[in-house]
Amino acid sequence: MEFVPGIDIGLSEVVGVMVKALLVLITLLSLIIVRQVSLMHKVVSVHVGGNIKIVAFSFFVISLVLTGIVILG
Amino acid sequence: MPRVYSAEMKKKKEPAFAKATARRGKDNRVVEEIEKMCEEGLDRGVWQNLIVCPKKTKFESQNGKELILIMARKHLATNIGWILAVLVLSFVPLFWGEFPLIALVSSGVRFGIFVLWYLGLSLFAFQKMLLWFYNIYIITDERIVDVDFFGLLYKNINVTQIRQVEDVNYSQIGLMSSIFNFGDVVIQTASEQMSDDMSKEQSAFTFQAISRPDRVARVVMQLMEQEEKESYEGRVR
Repeated sequence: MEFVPGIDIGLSEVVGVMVKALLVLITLLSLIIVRQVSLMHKVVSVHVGGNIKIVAFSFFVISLVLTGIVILG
Repeated sequence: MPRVYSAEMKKKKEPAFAKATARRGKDNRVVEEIEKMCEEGLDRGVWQNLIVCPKKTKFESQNGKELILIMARKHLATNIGWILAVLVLSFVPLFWGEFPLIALVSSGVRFGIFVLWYLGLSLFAFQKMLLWFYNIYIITDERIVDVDFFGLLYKNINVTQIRQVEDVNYSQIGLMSSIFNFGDVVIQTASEQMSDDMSKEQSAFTFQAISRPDRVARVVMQLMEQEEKESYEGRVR
């Protein structure tokens, strides 16, 4: 497919851009979840709240790393 | 010589809720009901649907001496739908070869789609778990609190005094609720509080799909009677 002369845009490129954009979105959502867990813990404080915060932060780190691998790879 | 018999009796430790509610007078059926629920093992754990006198638990507007008697969540059975969906969807990547569109993209993009799929599923499951865990209903010796989180950025907290409660009803509808013994407890207040989350609820204080709704309703009714008795005796705080 040639929208611009000399530049070929294939299905892989288009899908690749969409996948990278969605991965960035998921990373942002996981960051929002980290913040939301802190707010939830402030409203109702249970003794496993600290562990849940750690899990949320770990999920954010993992999604950040995987997004970095996919974007830079 | 080894001690065969000792007349020393260990003093039975009075439960915290008994001390806190002792100011309500000697005739305290709430204490008896809560004691009964503790003996049934409902005072243990954090992930349970119904916890009596939860330990190390506080909420935002809790007063210094206020005691949480019951903390309830929706029954675990209400999560079966999304748990099954996540389990089924987690096996979809095994059949990606059947989709011609996936076969057309490069291996790098296919890896990206794979990562995106599982990250998205994990995010969905984690968010559902958080909303189930933190959407709680609290009954203290003074108030009733309904904490609702909708999505990531919307929270709604309804609070009422026990003395403002006018009516308590409970219902169990459907096969699942009969099998797992959960149902709705509807608490009507004098002020007819309205809240944004009332699209499907009969009142601002509807405890949806909670375990043992009959026991919870009984505790609330006994608290109401206790408040009425205190107001006659002039002991209202």
